[in-house]
Amino acid sequence: MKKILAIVLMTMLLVTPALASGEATAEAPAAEVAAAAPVAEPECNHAFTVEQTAEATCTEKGLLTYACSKCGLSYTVETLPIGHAPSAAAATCDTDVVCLNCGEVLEAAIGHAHVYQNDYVQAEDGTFTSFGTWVCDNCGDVTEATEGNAVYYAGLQAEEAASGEPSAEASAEASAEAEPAAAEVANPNYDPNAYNWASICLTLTIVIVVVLAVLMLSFGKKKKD
Amino acid sequence: MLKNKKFAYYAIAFNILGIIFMFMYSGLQNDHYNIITTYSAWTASQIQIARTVAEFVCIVLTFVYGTLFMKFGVRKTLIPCIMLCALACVGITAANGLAVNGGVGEFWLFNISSFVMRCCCMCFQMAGFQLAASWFIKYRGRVLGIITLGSPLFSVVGVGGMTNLIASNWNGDYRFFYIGVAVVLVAMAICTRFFLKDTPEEVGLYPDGADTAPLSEAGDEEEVHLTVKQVLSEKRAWLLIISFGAFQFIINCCMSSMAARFMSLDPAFLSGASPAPTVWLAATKWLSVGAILGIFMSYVFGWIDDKFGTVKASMLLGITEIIPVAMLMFMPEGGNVAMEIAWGFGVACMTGGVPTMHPCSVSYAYGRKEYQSANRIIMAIQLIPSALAAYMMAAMIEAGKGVMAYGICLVIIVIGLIATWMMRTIPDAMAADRDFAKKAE
Repeated sequence: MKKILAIVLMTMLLVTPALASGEATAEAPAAEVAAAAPVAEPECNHAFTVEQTAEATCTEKGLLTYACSKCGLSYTVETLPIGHAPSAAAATCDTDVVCLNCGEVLEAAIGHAHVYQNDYVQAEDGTFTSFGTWVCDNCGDVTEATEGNAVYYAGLQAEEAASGEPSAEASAEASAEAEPAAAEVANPNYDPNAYNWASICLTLTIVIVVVLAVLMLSFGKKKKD
Repeated sequence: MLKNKKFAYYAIAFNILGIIFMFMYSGLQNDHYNIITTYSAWTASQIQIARTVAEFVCIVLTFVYGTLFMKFGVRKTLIPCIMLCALACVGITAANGLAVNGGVGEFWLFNISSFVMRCCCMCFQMAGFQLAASWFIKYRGRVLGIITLGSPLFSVVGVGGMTNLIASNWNGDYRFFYIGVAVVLVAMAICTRFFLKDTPEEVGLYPDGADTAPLSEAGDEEEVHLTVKQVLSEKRAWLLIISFGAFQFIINCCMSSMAARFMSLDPAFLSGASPAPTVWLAATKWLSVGAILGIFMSYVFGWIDDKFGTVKASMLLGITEIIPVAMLMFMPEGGNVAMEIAWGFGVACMTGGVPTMHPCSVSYAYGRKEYQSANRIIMAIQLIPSALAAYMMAAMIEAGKGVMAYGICLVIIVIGLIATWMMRTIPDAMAADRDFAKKAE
């Protein structure tokens, strides 16, 4: 047991410095030398002047030139790009993100994602009026249903009058016609507003309460028997 | 069991209604939110508000339902809960909020209905387990295995089928679906009243259709009412709390975090290059395969319980829980089909096995007469860490520590396995009447 422990300890002692030196050597090349400094001549007490040879841009490096006014020695140093200055954190539906320095478009406007909020009313004479709107999913921008949509409804009413087809088609088909991006309706015959849901819910509530009362009372009766 | 005609009638009625109880429990506690999320105009987080609050309330309700079962009987407690659930379905219908209707709706009514539904449907599962423990001893594991088939059934058939039906027939208007569920619940309540009895003794029968009272209950006629203090001062209660608390915790961890985990392994989705989480969507295919396998695994665990004993079946369940956790832990970026299949199978074992084995284990430790008085306390305590599982996993995965989160899950499984192994020192309360005991003779 002691031998095994000794071997383990020895191995750890040997491996740890090797790993440590490995890490150190790995880090060394990471440091970048921006410019190679010239070997200065010992007799000159340099007096350097600095000149900006090239200005750094958002993406390109700049260049500074150092020149000694006494001995004429000169060398250059690169400066880092200044980077873009975005006009906003993220693009909106209709506004790009641009760089305030160079004007480059960093992120294009994403565009509206209008979804048709489908609805219409049927007047007593059987005619339809659409009051559907297009609402952007991203920014909430609201666009009223277009005139073309109303024209479509007018045409549909005429068709319905002639064929006697169910009027529920109007809503679904009109939304698909008005903007191609609108969701397709699987069952055009279904109209969510054709049922009186309030009455259905009220009736069912009464049924549930009555059935519950009968069932619970039946337990009591059984006990008496 | 089926030789006794009268017993066979109640046994078959219970098996059918038991499957419906579990089907409805699984669907209304969790799965139906997928339908609402798909078609309502409310956001996913808005939809989950009431349900999240209800999750915590259910910890207390577990104890309350258990006490009500003991005081008034199973049916008198269950029927009002079923009816309240039906009313909640009507509430969701009346709340509207459908995207197809432009999102107009009563959000407060939806929240109340969602809360009531989550709280009440919990009673379905507890009642199913209680009735199984009261009516069956020798066949307990297999019967529980059959009725728990209902849970994965809703996950596989219910959600997918209903989502497509609602889309193709009603253009995303799910109100018909909830009206339908309410009607089924009313029918379920009527059937519960007339076709079920709380105990076989109520109709002059004995468990398993036997001609005599269980040997293990000789001279022990009355149901025992254990107090909280009595239960919590016993080693067997704590072993059950730790073992099945750990297994339940792992289910919540895996089921709540799998979507987030797969999305975190989808570099294209994370960078925005892909608009859809394709890795997760591909993986769900294998989850469906797993859920289908789960339908059979619940019966397999029940069969092992009957034939070889509860501790052995529970140990096997604990070992199979390692599979989904390990697969999620080591899943590479972009997913891996073989690992996803193994993950699906593991999920199946977990979701099918725990609901079957939990009541088996409580019955093993406490027997028929003490089952509910111990179960209400054990189950309530087990739910406390489980309620926090989802938050723990979500927070760790969001912080980029998914592997560590699943590592913690593995440690918890090991703790559960140790507690399960220690359960072998507890004598089987119904040993004289169990199937495996008969074999050993």
